[in-house]
Amino acid sequence: MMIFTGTFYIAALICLLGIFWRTGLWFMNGLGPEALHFSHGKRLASAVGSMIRVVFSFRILKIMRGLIRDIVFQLPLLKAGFARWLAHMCIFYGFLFLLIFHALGDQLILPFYPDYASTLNPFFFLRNFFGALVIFGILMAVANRMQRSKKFHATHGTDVAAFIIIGVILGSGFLLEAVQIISAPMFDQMVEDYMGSDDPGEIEQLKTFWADQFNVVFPGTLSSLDADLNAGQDLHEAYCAACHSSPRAAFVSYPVSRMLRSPAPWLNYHRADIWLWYVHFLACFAGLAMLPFSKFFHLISIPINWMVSAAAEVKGAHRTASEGVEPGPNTATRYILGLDACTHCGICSVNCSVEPMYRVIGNTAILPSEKLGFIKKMAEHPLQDNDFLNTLARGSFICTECHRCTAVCPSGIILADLWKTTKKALEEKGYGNVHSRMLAPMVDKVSHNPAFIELRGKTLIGKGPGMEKDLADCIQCSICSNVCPVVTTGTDIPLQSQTPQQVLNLLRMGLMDLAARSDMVWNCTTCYKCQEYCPQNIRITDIFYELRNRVTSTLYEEIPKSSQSAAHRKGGDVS
Amino acid sequence: MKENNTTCDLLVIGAGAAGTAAALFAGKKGISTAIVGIASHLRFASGLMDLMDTHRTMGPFSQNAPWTAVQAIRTELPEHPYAKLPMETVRLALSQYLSILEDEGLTYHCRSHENVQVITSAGTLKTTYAVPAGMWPMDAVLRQPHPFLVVDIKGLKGFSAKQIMNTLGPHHPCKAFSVDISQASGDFPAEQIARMFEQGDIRDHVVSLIRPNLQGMAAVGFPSVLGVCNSETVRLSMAEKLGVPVFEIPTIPPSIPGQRLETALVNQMNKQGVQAFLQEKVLSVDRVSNRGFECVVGRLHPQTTIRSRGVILATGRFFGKGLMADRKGLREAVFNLPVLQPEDRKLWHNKHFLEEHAINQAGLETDGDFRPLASDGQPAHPALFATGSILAHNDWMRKKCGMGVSIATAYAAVSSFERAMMVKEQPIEIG
Amino acid sequence: MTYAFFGGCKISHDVPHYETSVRSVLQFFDIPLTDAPFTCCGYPMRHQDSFASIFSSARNMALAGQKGVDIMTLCQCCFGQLMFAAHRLKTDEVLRNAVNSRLAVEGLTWDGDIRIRHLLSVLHEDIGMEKISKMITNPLTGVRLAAHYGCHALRPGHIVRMDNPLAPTIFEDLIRAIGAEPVDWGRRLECCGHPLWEKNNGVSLYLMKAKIQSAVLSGAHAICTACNYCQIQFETVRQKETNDMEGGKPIPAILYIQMLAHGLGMAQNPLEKGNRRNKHG
Repeated sequence: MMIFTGTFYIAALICLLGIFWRTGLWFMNGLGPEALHFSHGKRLASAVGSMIRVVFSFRILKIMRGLIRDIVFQLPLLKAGFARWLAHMCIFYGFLFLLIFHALGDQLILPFYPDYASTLNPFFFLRNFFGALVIFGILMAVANRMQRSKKFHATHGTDVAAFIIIGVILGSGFLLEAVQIISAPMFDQMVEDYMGSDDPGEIEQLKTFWADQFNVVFPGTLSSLDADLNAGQDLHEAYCAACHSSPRAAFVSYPVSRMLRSPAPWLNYHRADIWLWYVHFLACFAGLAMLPFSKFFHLISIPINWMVSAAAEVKGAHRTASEGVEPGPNTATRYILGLDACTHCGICSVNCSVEPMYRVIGNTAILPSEKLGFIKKMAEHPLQDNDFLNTLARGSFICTECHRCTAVCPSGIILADLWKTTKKALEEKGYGNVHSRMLAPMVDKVSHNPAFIELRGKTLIGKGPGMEKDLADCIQCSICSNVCPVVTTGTDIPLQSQTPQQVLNLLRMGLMDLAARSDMVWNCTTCYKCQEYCPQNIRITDIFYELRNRVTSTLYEEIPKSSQSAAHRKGGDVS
Repeated sequence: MKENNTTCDLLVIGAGAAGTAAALFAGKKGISTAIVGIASHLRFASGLMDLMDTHRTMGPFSQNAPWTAVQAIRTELPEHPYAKLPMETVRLALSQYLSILEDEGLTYHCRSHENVQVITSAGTLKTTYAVPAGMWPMDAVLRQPHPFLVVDIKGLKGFSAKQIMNTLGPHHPCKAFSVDISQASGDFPAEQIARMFEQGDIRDHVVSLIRPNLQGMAAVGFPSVLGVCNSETVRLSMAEKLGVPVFEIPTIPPSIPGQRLETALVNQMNKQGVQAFLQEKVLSVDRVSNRGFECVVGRLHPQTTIRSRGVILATGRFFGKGLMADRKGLREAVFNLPVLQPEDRKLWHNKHFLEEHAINQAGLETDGDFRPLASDGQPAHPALFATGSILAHNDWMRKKCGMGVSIATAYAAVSSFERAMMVKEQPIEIG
Repeated sequence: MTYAFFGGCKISHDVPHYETSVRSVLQFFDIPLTDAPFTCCGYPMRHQDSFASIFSSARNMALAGQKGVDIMTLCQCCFGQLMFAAHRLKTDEVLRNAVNSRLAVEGLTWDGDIRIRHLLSVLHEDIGMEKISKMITNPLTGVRLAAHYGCHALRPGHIVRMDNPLAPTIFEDLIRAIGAEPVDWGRRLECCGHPLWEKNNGVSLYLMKAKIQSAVLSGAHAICTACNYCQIQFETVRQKETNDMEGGKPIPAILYIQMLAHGLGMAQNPLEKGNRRNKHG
């Protein structure tokens, strides 16, 4: 028992420390410009202050109601799909009740039911029922995940680890119970401890009964006479029945124990019941210790995330991001908390509007569930390499901010806020969208703009199919420049450095690279007026699109990583 | 939304000066009409309407009499398009055309027996038959002795007040002034300038810059960028603020008066119920029979088939791509009609640039009803007509009769078509 | 004639009342709508990767094709994009084969059978001016509206073929049908600037302001839009970024469908403050 208690306390300690550490990170890590303005201390103080304010206000009622809807009934998950909801309810409630009726039976049930014994019904049945429920849920979840894998490979190490841990706990639990059922040594021990008689004859009769009714596998042969069976039953009623119901109610373990009849002597001899007990509780405690470091941290982060979202007056089903609100010290904290609430369920990616793009481009950061992983990494370690940032940037700027992911996230994460702030963070690091990188002022701050360092001296694009024929027709009439709404002046908007006519001229001369760097190409609002009015049928807007496509593909795919300087990591200083 | 197939009585191919005029004349007559063409070519118009500007019979500017010249041409050059029309038709065509423009708020003025005097952006003097209202004051200003101010806008290509002053100075006193409203150093396209002039604060700013230079000036001339639409309001408000008449001087193409013309014509076609397939071309002619034509229309790829009983070919010359030239010769782009052209490519151009060039007389020969001729000298089809600069024997750039020929021949072709539709006997079968 | 409702990315979150108004009005006129698991039309991606963009469009069209219905979209960028993709797929066999081989993985195929229509065309042609005028119970007499066509519904003319690209008229017709008065304004065919939002905000705003100014100068009471992107630009973006306007007080922008709904007696007058149901004024 020492080992049991000892490992429990160690696991519990590790778990608690882990939880403190993880929650601490909510105030330490930052994402986006909002984080930079507020110190860790300020964020913690502000969060505590807000919590106190909320608890002592009417908002607490709204939060309570939200908790019932989101945690007890898990309605957002139901909205995402019945199969998912069912799987998770089975796992969640199965495990919860296993905790109540089994793991913490002595602590939670005994005070209310003094006659509690784990070997009594309905506990046999309940244990098996909830255990089976969990296994059923797991199988559904695995099937679901495999189904989804057809769309994208969305299973990480943490997902597999989660399945394994639960699998081991449940598996070892059922096996343990089965092995305990057949265990002759355990029977002997119990007889020694609890039987009020040591009459060998009576013991034999009891054994007969137990072998027959309780599937204990004894060495040697036992009587099969009815008289002995009945006598055994009387003995059972006298000494055992108070604490032992028929294990047939254990509708999983009992059939398993029946299957173990042939290896039973071997198992009993080697005290499999003890070994499996170790395996079982050590697995449970391992799970407990690993809780804050595994996927199961969501048990803590999700309810808190929901409560915080509700408290931040974020509206109901549509979960609109809190627009127009000045980011305060709680904003950054909320983002990190949101990152922690992700269970990698992938529902966001299934609903993502730009998921078909992923199928063509292959950049995983396009998918919300994967993008979040990148962002999480960046929040923990802001200094990432060019490859990472480029990949994340590519995916980030494909997002159209349709908010579907935000609307379906069952963890209540305001994904849209995360995407927006990540875009800002990337801009500041010099990994903004291609437009802003190409429009960045070239004057003076040249060396400070990582994008420019990258592009300078590199040939962005070469000649390509389809453009030469069009270009030869240009007579430089300048109708395109006249109709273009962007080539204009005002007191604050300077004239484009080149007009469409001039860009076309550069292209006619084969100076594609220079043309692609022109402001005009990136400031084009794609209104198609130039193409429409061109008297020579030149597809000017389409040509500009073509140039943009080529620059994008060059920036993201062709410029080698080796040419990146420290500037990319810091996003500014070149020394 | 456009259908994939459409039918009409008359299909006008080409949306330049002749094509749009033909479509409008036909619309006014109640003929069910469709037009296909790149209307933005009209932006190359200067806004001036030449009837006949250069002929040996024409005296110095003050006696520049276009109608007399037209009459003379009809006698001297019996092949010229004007010779195929009664004078009355030319008058009628022009007056109807100008009244159509008037309906759209684009007023033109003329002196009817004498050409109007205008300044070009090079500073030379030119005469023309009709000018937009914005340019009209120029004529009066040129006929009086006092100097006027010429203003240019920084960034506007092809218009320099100083150059105008230097060139025009010997003929008429004027002063040059430059205005900068862009605060930038690049090209400032005419349309953008014109849009800026539509704003009151910009106008006020410009007026304030000019006022100190108005001493003794009878008028102020601007490049023709005073507003894209509502140009009269813009011009008159400036005139009011400056206290002197304000006029527009034609600019190099693409010009705003050309754009105003395009807008007016396109809007009028809408009102006349003309089915417009603008910014598209006839890509191929699928069928030609005595019953009519089937033309396939699109911009780059076939999109619509138009069935019509008659066609007016107004596809223009080289710029309009009505005629295509290669190393061997010229061909007509849509129907492959025979093109009158010099026998040899060597004979296309004169060695001296400012002399006549034979190539400029090339084009389609027609009968008296403007039906283009086949190689046997007979009309290619009873319901196929040709108008505008695609017509042969018409060096319109040298004679300065472009608009006049386009409008008058368009009018005549539409009338011919109308008559053809009323003819009862079977026309010649074409395969 | 059932249409598959194509909402695009922006409507459900940014302009939800656009969808609800359209559904109520079309129900009123007995035009059945159905839904399909559409994704982004692909327009925002065209800057970055034309193939991915066309693939997305093709997939959406294939989903509608599977159901045997045409697509109706409320957004002009979606409309322009889908028409553009259809045009490219129709005329480029290599592209078509590449796209179809990817679609085949899902059991989908693009064959160009379905039509793509914008809301304005459905109102103008399927329902028609006469029918609309007859059903108007609250004519918007004396209200002057500046019709903003948006670029991608007009150009390239030969691809979208919604109206005459140089002189369109259907939007003005629709405005007359509800009893209001369309104005002629200088910048009527110009872009609202939204494609540049978050790429170059300065120029985007400049274009927006120029449009609003032109509408103000023409004496309109409001700009009438038929695209969520345009509406967001005129309404939300403007609220966020600027409050001053030269040439007079800035006029609001209203979705045409809201004016129509009011005309039919189904909704309150969106010109009155508080009734617009936009997030920001």
